[in-house]
Amino acid sequence: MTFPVAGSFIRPLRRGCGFLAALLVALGCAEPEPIYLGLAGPFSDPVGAPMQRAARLAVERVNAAGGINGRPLALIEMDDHGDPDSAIAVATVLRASPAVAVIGHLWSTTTLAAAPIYGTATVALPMVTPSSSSPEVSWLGEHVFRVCPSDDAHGTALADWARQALAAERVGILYRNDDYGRGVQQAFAARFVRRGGTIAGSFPYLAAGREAGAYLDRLAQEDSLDALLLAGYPEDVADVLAQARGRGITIPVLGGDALEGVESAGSLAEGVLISAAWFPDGRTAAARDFLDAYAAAFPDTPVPNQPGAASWDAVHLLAAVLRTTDGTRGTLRAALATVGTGLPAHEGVTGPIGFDERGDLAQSRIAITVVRDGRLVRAEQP
Amino acid sequence: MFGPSLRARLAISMSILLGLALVMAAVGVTTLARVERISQETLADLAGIKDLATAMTDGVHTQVREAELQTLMPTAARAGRLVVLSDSTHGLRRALQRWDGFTPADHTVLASVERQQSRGEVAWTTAHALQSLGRDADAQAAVAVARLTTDSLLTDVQTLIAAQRLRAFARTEALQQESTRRRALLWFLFFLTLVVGAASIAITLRAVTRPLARLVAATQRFGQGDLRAADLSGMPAELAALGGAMNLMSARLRQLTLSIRGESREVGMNAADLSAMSQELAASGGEIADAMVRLNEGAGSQLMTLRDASQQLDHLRDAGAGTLQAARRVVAVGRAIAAMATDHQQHVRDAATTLLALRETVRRAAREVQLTARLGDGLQVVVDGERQLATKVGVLAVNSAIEAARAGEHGKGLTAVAEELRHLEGMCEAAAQQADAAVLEVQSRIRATGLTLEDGSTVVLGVEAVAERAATALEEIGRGIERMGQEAERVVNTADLTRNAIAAMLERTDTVARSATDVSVTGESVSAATEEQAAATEEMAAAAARLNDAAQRLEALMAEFRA
Repeated sequence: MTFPVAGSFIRPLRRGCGFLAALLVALGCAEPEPIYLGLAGPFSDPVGAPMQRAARLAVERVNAAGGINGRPLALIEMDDHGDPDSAIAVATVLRASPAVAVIGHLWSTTTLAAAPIYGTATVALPMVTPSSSSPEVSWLGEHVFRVCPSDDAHGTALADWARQALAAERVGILYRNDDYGRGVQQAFAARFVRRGGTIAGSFPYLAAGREAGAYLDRLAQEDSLDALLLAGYPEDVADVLAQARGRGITIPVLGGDALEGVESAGSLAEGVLISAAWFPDGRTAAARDFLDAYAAAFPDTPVPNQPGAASWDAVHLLAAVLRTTDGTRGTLRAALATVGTGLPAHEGVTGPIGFDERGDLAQSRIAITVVRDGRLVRAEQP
Repeated sequence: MFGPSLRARLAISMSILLGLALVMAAVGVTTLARVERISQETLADLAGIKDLATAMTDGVHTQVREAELQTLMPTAARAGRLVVLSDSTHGLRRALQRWDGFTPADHTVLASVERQQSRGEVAWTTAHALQSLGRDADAQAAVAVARLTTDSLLTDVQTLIAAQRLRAFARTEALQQESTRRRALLWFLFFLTLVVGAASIAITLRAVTRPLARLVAATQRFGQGDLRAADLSGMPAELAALGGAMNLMSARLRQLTLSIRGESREVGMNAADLSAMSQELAASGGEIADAMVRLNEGAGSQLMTLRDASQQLDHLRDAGAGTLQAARRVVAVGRAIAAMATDHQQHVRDAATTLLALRETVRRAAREVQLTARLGDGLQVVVDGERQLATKVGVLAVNSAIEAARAGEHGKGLTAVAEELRHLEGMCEAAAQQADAAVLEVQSRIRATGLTLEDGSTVVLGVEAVAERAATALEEIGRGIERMGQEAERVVNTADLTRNAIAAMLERTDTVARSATDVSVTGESVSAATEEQAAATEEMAAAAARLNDAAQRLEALMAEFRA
C-alpha cells in the first residue's frame, strides 16, 4: 500500500494510517496479526520504483514460506518523493504506526531528515536504508542501519580507480550540494589527494545544474585536467554532461552509485564510470533467484537497480532477524545490531550483510561499471 | 469478635501517616528533582542549541566574509578554506539535525537551513567562478543571491533559536504551572496528613480509652464483689487479652468463692461434729478412767485370787506328793501282794500236787482226811488275807478317787487308777469269795470226801480239777496284782506329772500375778492419761466451737461475693 505524502495531507494520512492499523488489528482477530514493516522512499521516482517492487516481491516470498513464526509480513508503504520535508512527515506517521522497522529512506538527504524522527519514538523505530550512503548516516544513532556501502567507500573506490586505471593527476569535481554529493566529493578528494592527485576545483551545484556552465568554463581554463567527477544524480548529471560535451570536455567522467540510470542519457553517458554496490549480472545463485523472480513478477520493467536489490535484501534480512525476536521494535533493533557478530551475516543478493558498531556494512563490495552502448557493464582495468 | 489490635491500629495509623509523609516527601523531592532536571535540560538545550546556532551563525558569517574576500581578492587558498568552512557549517547543521529536542517542524526548518546553506554556497561559488571568468555582472547577481540566501539562512537559524527559546519559555511556564500544581498538591497532602493524623490519633485514643474505661468499671465491680465477666466485644486484641485475663481471674475467684463457701459450711459442720465428738470423747475418757479404775481393782482382786490359787496349788502339790508316796506304797504293796500271790500260787500248786498225790493216795489215806480238814482251815486264813487285801485295795481306790476328784482335769489318770483299784478290789473280793467258796467247797468236799472217802476213792478224783482251778485263780490273781502294780506305777508317774504340772501352774500363776500387777500399774497410767486426754478433749471441743464460729463468719463473708 502506498501513502502519497504532501504537507496538506499529513493529518488525513495519520488518521488513515490509524484507521488502517485498527482495521488490520481487527482483522487480526480472525487471522494471525501481521508484522508490519514501513517502506519509505521515492516510489514515484524511477530510481525508487524498483525499491517498492522488490520489497513487495520479497514480502510475498517470505509470506509464501510461512511468514515470521506463523505471522505474515505486511508493508506500510509511504512515498517521501525524495524530499526531506516529506520524509519528515512520513517518518512522523510511521513512528506512530505499528511498524516494527522501516525500510528506507532511499536518499541520504531524506534519511538524514527522517532518522531523528524515528529516534525520538518511545522505543526507537529501527530503520534499514537500502541506499543512503552519506557518511553522516553513520552518526544518526543506534537505530539506523544500512545495507549499502557509504560514500566514503564509493569515493575511495572511485579515487583509486582514477589514480590506478585512469592515471589521473588532476581532477575537477562537480557535486550536488547535498549530503550525498558532498559525501562523495569529500571522500574522493581526500583519497585522491592522499594518493598524490590534485583537485583542480570543487564546485557545488543545485538540482537544476544551471550553475554547472560557469564551473565547466572555469575548469576548461585548466591546462591539464585528467578526469571529471560528477557527484550527483542522473537527472542533473545528464545536463552537466551535455554542457561539458558542449564545451569540448571529453575527459573521463566518474560518478557515484547515484548515477545509476544515467545510461538512459544515451551517448552523453557513454563511457561514464560509475561505482556500484550492486551489479545485476547474476554471479551468485541468490542474485539469479532475485533477478528471475523480479523479471517474472515485473516483466515490463528494467533490471532492478541497487535500491531494488538492497530493498530485497533488507526485507529478507529483517525477516530472518524477526524470527529470532518477539517481534517488537526494541528486540528487533538489538538483534539487528548483532548481525554479523552475534547473529550470522545475512547472505544477500548484494553480498554478505553484517553491521559494525555504527550500523554500517562491515564489508563493502564496490564494483566500477561503465556505460557501454547504453548499458552498464563492469569496467575492466586497462 | 475482637477489634483490631492496638499494635495494628497504631501500625496502620503510623503507616498511613508515614505513607502520607513519604508521599509528601516523594512529591517534594520529585518536584524539586523534576524542576531541577527540566531546568537543567532546558538550560542545557538552550545552551547547546545556542552554542550550535552561534557556531553555525559564526561559521556562516565567516564563510560569507571569506566569500566576500574571495570575490575581492580571489586566491586558491581562500577557495580551499571556503570548502573547509562549508564542510564545517554543514557539520554544525547536521549536529543540529541530530538534536533530540527538535520537533518535526524544527527539522523542516533545519531542512530549509540546509537548502539555504547549499544554495548560498552554490551562489558564492558560482559568483567566484563567474568573476574568474570575467563575468562580473553575473557574478554580482550571484553574490546578491548569495547574500539573500545567507540572510534567509541566518533568519532560519534565528527562527530555530527563537523557536527553541519559545519552547524553553513554554517548558519553563509549564514547569511553573506544574510546580504550582505540585505545591498545591503538597499543601493538600500536608492538610490531608494533618486531618488523617488527627483522625488517626482520635480513633486510636478512642480505641484505647473506651475499652480501658470498661475494664476499669469491670475491675471496680470485681472489687465490690461482683465477679461477673466483663464484656470484651469490640476491644483491641491487647485490651481484650487483659480483659480476658481479668475474666479468667474473676471466674477463678467465683469458683474459689463457691468452693470456700462450701468448704466453710463443711468446716462448720465438721467443727460441730468435732465438738460433739470431743464431748463424746471426753465422756468416753471418763468412762475409760472409770473402767481403768475398775480394771485396777479387778487386777488387785485377781492378784489376790491368784495368790489364793497359788496357795491351793501348793496344797495340791503337797497332796500330789502324798499321792505319789501313796502310789509308791501301793506299788510296794502290789509287789508284795504279787510276791505273796506267787507264793500262794506255788502253795496252790503244791496243794494241787498234794491233792494229786492225795488223789493218788486218797484211797490209801482216807484217814488223813482230818488232817486235810485242818489244811482246809489254813486255806481259810489265806482267804481271809485275800479279803483284807481286797479291803485295802478298796480303801486305796476310794483314796485315789478322792485325789482324782481333787486334781480335777489332771486327776483323770488318777481316776482311772481308782477305777482299776476298785476293779482290783472287786476281783480280789471275787477271788476271795471264790477262794472262800473253793475252800468251803474243798472243806465240804473234804467233808464229803471224808464222808465219802469211805464211800469210794472215786470222789477224790474231783480234787485235781479243783486244784487246777485254784492254781488258775491264783495265776489270775497274780496277773491282777501285776496289773495293779503297773497301774500303781502309772499312778506314780501321773502323780509325778501332776506335781510337775502343779509346779508349772504355780510358776504361771506367779507370772499371771506379776502381769496382774503390771496391769494394775498400767491401768493407773491409763487412768492418768485418760484424765489428761479428757482435759485435751475439752480444749479441742472449745477450739472446734471457735472454728465453727469462724467458718460461719467466713461463709457470711463469702456470701457477699456475687458469683
